[in-house]
Amino acid sequence: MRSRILPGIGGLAGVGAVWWGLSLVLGDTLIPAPPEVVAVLVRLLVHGQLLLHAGASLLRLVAGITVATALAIPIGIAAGISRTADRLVSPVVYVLYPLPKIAFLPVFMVLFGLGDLSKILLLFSVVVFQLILAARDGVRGIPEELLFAAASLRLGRRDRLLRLYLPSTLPQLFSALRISVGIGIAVLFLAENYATSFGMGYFIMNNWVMINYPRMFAGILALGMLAAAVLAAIDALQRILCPWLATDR
Amino acid sequence: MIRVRDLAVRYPGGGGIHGIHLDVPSGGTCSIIGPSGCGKTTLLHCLAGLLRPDGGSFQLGIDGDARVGLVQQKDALFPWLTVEQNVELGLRALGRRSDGDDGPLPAGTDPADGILGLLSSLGVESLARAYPGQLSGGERQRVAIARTLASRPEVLLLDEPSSALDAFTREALQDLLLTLQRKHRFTCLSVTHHIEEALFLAERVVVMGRGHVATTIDNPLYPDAEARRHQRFYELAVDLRTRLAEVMPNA
Repeated sequence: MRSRILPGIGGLAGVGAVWWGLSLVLGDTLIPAPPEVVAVLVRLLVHGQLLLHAGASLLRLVAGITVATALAIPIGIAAGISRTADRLVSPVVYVLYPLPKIAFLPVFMVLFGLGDLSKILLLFSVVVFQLILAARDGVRGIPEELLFAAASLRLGRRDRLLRLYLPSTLPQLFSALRISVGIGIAVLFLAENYATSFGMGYFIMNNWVMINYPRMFAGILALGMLAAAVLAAIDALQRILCPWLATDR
Repeated sequence: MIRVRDLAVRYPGGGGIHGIHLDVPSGGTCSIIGPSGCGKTTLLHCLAGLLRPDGGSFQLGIDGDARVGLVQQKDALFPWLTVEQNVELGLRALGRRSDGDDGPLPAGTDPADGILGLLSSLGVESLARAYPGQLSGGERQRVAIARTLASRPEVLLLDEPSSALDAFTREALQDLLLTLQRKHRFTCLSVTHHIEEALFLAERVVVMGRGHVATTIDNPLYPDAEARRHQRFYELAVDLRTRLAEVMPNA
């Protein structure tokens, strides 16, 4: 346990040292020193002000990811199993996946309002295509001998879905989820600058405009911690849902 | 029993099998040996229902509806299921109809007893809760055999079951397969690259070359567990090696 924690602390200390060095070189007006930012962060957390913004962002993120995952898994698995479904799904995904979704934020706002729904759907659109491709490729990558085993054991549709297709896609789904969460948070940061007064994006950019750099940096630090918590939660979920990955020789 | 008549499978790029005739009586054993690409696995996959033949016919069991079990070259265990969950799938296949829906298990079948009993008979009961990734190659293949036996096959198809194993583990697996065949009396067709394995596991050895049956050898020593100690076993092996050399592509 100790050997796992120490390198992590060392890495974070390294980032902190670079940050502090830049603050010393460029001056703490532009880049506030870490102790000052941490003090501001603690104060904001104690007063609960930052928790409201973090909560709003987390809610949007979790909602977008959950809906995307729930939709992407059946679509991706269907595209992996059936050529017809693949011919229907893949061209749509290939066209929509690379588009910069943030450019569609005004359209989402017109269609779904200025509230949370448009931001959740924007996040959904960022995450869903990557997850569909991960699920599809997970099914396509099932080794032939496992497909033969399923056939010779005469597995029915339900068993094939639950004991072959779904578990075979899970590792790729979790990898895709980790990548999408990073992109999703970046998109959410931009989206929270429009028509809202809650969210980490709003908090950071508002303090930037107000030239309150310690609070802005505290917001950036909090956003990093939020992203780390989400990624750690995804790791934990993977350990629960894919226990065999931890045991491979 | 297995009856194959004029069976043919053609691949778009050439190859496959043609004009295959084969008879294995109920409870009988047959090995198929031949050079790589001669169609051994194609024939086996056809009989296992994994490939549709382009011509000819085959029958498994007297009524043509025998329960068929397949043990593959690679162990083919589901890596996300524990050993007992993998074997449970085989047990559930016992009550499964051909459309894939689960039917009732036959009377007297207790899933828990069945799984542990099978694992115990193959010497891997202590691994019941382990995942395949935690097992050695030999252990994985034993579990794969347990899973197949759980479906109580009347016809057992073995596709080079020991090819990925070291020499000692391979011999131990051959001994196990011989014991199981004598105990359960299933009809057994095994495909192998190993001359000694082909002889040890079957009363008849079929030599295949370029998609057809080239010759057959009867093995009077089967099912002697001590066959490897007999001079006659090595005479048969030499004979088989000679016939195999005749069908090798560079012969």
